[in-house]
Amino acid sequence: MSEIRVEREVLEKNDIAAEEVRGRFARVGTYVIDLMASPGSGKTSFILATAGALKDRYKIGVIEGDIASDVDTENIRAHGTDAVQINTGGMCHLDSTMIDRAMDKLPADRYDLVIIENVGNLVCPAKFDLGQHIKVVILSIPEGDDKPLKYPGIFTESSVLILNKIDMLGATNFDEQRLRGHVAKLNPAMEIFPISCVTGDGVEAWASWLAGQIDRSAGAAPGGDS
Amino acid sequence: MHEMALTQSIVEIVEESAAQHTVTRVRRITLTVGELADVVEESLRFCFEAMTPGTIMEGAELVWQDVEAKSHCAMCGAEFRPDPLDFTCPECQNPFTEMVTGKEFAIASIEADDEDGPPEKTNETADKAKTHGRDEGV
Repeated sequence: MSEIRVEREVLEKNDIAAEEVRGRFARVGTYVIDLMASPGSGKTSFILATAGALKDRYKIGVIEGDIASDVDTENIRAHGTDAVQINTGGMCHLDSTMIDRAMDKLPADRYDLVIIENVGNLVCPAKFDLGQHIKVVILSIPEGDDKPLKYPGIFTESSVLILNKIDMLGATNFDEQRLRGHVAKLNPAMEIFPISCVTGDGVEAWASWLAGQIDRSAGAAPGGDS
Repeated sequence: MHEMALTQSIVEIVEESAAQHTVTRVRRITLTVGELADVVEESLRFCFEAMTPGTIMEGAELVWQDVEAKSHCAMCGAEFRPDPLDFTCPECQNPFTEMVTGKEFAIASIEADDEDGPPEKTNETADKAKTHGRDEGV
């Protein structure tokens, strides 16, 4: 018997593929969001609200990840935004090779912004680099302010937290200060945007922050501003 | 349950390493696992047993080496083991600390039988076999 040193990260293939996807996006100056949240937290409504606020300024594409069905994709297309479906067939998360294939199916040659809606899950998607610029996690008010204590990984891996359904604050015992306290201990740099996709509250603040990120990224891209 | 995907990656990496070294059978796989890597040992072992029959690593032992989390504070220089729910520096209360270890999940090494079975390949790498014929049932 002999011992062979391997010394390889288990997810290295995903990470290598993610770097290729990142390069592909960088070449055309596309800003990419990996959007993660639990089922029912309002991911698709949030995408529609974001696209509604920014579609006059930017070309937007959506990659929809679901275990099955294309209801979200149909919904997004019905609102006039390009969307392509990935069905994971039971897999709990997207990986970077799926993103590469999905990009080939989006109709336009280039996008300013691509939003990837990950599979509804607060655990697994946090671990997989998709070649995104930022990971965004949505926490909706009815889920409770203790989620960072139960799922710390996703709150440390994401750079933006969307507090969705703030129109429901009065109907729950959700304490926003307590939530912010939990987040500050794990990820003090996290940007937090409280919004409601029903009333539209907070959507403008999020959209203008995102526009700043898209513009900065396009300015930094090799062919940007040309 | 991303352990299924993790196991799939382990199988691929081990098969690649085995192919590079012309081994016939992988007996032991040593994993290094950070305490905050969010890998569920029981679940990974279950997936490994389910996915490896018929492969070169069927029946191999998975050795789990825990790696303690360690953080560094750039403000005061403290090195400390972070609370899983609070990464703040315990010395100076700086919240912006850097985790140095604790999130890794890697294959450190494999132990394998060298090629010494019936000669099914015609290349010369077979002379490398038979260094250690140790045959333990683990």
